[in-house]
Amino acid sequence: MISRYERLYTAEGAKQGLRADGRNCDTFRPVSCSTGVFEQCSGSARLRIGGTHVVATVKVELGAPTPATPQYGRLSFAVDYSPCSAATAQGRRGEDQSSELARALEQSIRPSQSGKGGALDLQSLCVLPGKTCWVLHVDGLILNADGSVLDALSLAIKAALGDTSIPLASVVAAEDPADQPEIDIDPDPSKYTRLDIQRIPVTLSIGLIGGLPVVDLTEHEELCADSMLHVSVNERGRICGITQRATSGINPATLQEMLAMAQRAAPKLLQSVQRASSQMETA
Amino acid sequence: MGFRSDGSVLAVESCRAVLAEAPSPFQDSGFVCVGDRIETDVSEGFLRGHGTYVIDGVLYASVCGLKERVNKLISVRPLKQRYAAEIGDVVVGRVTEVAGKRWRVDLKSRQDAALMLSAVNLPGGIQRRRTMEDELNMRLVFEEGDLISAEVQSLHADGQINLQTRSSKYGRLVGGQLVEVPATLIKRQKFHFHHLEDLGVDMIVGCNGGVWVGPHDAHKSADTQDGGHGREEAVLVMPTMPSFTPQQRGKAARVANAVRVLAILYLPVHSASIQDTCQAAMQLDLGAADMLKLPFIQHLAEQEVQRRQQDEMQAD
Repeated sequence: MISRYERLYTAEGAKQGLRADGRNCDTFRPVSCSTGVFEQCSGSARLRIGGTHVVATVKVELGAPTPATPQYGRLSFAVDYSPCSAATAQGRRGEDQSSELARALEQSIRPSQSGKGGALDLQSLCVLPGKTCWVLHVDGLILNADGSVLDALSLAIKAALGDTSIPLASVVAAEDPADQPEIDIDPDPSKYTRLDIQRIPVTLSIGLIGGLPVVDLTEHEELCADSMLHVSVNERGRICGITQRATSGINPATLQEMLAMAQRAAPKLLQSVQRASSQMETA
Repeated sequence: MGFRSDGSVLAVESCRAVLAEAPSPFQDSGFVCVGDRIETDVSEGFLRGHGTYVIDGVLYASVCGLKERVNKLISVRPLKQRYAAEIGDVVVGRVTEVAGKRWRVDLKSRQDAALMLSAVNLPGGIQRRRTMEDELNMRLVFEEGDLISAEVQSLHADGQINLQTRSSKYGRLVGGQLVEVPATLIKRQKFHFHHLEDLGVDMIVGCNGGVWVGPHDAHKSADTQDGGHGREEAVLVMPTMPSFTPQQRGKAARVANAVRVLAILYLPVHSASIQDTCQAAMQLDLGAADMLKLPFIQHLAEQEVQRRQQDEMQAD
């Protein structure tokens, strides 16, 4: 809930290019990220953008591929709101919100029905075509929500996938040719493969406040926004997906402006996250 | 692309760790943790207060906090809790509902506070009877979502908080921003309304953790000069939002970020600490947005550690 005067104050700030916390329309709040935060899973990351705090984990296990795509590995996404992350996160509404987020993230990464395209090479996850493949369970947990939750989650998931180690699996033919071949997993934890996360996009939420596009909205600013656009952009600045949220429409010229803003901002954001995590390492 | 693994804590936590190493201002006082046994004088007997429980005649703490004792009554005041109202507190809250003869106000307390129609100033004098018409026009006074400043008038046994805005220094807040901090960080003081002259910023430090920061509005302060009792408008009007220059707005952002930084480091929030933080940023020649970045947070944490060490030296 928000008062009309706060809305006016925020809108005037966007017009002057000076937001309530002193940022410009195209600057992000400080981002910090650390990876490998949990021992129990194959890859994990913890990320903060301003007051927004999320954790992402990837668990790798052997499973069966879907009949439609016998040559490919599988992905599953789930997002949870911690009940104390935001007042709206409790109960049914929180469930709706988190499944919406999970879907948006999945769409930005998952390949088409045929298994081709997409941001992850799922073919490399195949162990025994039609029988066994690696299944990646990607989970996001929102510990504190202060706007731009999807941005934080997409960054954290990218970082967690980059941290994921997949054990080496080799197919050994059974002694009796009639039997199923066996799958042998290398017990040495120092031997593993990494995922190629180069193509995984980051999803940016661009809000329209007082008719002007603004990146990295705080929770307060999200309440003031007339419209929101979630744009998935990869490292090269190419757009991989767009979804719209909130009620009011966006005219084509503004839409172009918002997309251009996302394309400019995404590589910068990715760089700053990389810098933040490498700084922590040297410190 | 490589997010590199560091295995260390996140940036902000590292600053908090710096503070945790510093001498504590509460060293000798009774700090207890959940389940800690609290010593009681057996001969005198004791009364169990808030934040404690008794097993077999022995008193234990049920929350982390500071031990307090008033005669026989022993209680533990938690380090962090939702806002616990006291009569006379200046608060900044949000109107969530307009109900019959009252507004419901969210103070981030355990329950919503009530502001009665009879506890606000209406045009035509304080002594005026509240009519049915006033009740129908309540949304002209405050509507849902409005931020207001008010004073805690009374507290009831069931936890109900009653507010009043019977002075023109209280009321609807227009032209500024709200910063929310944990209520435990706010220090109760003589004055909660501040005009920071060198910055040209008005600030209300609500005891409930709501801090209102806005560029100084000369028009409004002329109204409140007489202590807020003389002004009476003939009819209710919706105030217009004043327009601010980027300079004014930047200064307000500076003050707001000072409050945010103090909350990040979990340091007390009051006008002196806020002004000191603004000064520190100014000395380093930092812009408003830079005040939320790691170098400045680290700088503040180190400054606080130094201050506490000096205090400790003086105490010795």
